Amino acid sequence: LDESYIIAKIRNEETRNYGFNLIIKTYQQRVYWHVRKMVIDHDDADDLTQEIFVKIWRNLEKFRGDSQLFTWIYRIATNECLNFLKKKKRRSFLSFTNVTAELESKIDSGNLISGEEIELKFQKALLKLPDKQRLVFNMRYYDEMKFEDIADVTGTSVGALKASYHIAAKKIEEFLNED
Amino acid sequence: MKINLNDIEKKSPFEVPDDYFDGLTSKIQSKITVNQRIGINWAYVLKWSLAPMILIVIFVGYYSQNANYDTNSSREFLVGVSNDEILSYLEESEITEIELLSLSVSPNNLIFTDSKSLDDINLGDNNINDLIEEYNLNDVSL
Repeated sequence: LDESYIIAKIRNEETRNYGFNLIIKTYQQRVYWHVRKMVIDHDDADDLTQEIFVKIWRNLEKFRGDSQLFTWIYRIATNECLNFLKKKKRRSFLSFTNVTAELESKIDSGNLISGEEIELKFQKALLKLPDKQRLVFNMRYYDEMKFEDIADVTGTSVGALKASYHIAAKKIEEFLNED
Repeated sequence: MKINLNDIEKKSPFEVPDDYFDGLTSKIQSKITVNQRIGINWAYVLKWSLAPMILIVIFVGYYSQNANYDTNSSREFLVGVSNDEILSYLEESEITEIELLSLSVSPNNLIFTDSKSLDDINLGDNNINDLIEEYNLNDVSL
């Protein structure tokens, strides 16, 4: 669906609800998978995806069209993910638990997760990265987004993103080649 | 053999329950409907409560200013009235001694403290009983 068509619908107060339904239909899967790769657990991803769309709805009037609709949506989703993980880490600090270990155990539990051993090891390697670097890696590697669009989402320069992606890829390869 | 990132199939191991995305749309829509129903538009509340609040502040400020002005103006007015005129007004009015005392800034100065000044007044028992009754002094220990 053409993005400009959706934007025209959400800019008109009479067709805003319809425009928002188009946003949900068009982007819900991309947002969910973006979130799921970060939080690992399906229930957390489900809650967070709903929260993200509620936030998109509340801020719909503020969308000025300075950026593409999908990078604006990704920006909201990315910020929500980072806030969720930050809160989780704060809680785990107080309860003396380790978030990375918790997420790794979720990968091992196999609840709505299946794949070859190398795929699971790959996911565990990703968990070794700092959250923001992991987001950048996912957007480039899985979603195949342009660095320019990732820069728009994260507010980071293209050069810094390229360097971050390169470092992340090296770290993952090192982890995968460990015994 | 050394594993390279390009050798791994780009496949996510994550799964969702069957028909999950069909239900997600309605879950999001119902959440928005609930939020709309219980959500408070603070900008709207502030907009409509600010005007009455400003009016109340102006009214209170104006009233307190005027109250001070009235007190000052009545004091200035009384300065121009002679003591004889005030006394004749008090004699004619039905104001009681207790009310007069309550109006005074220093009521203790108006009460007789010199008990000897009463010595020359010869009051009989009947008169004393009448006074005690009039001023309800039965319960007061002297």
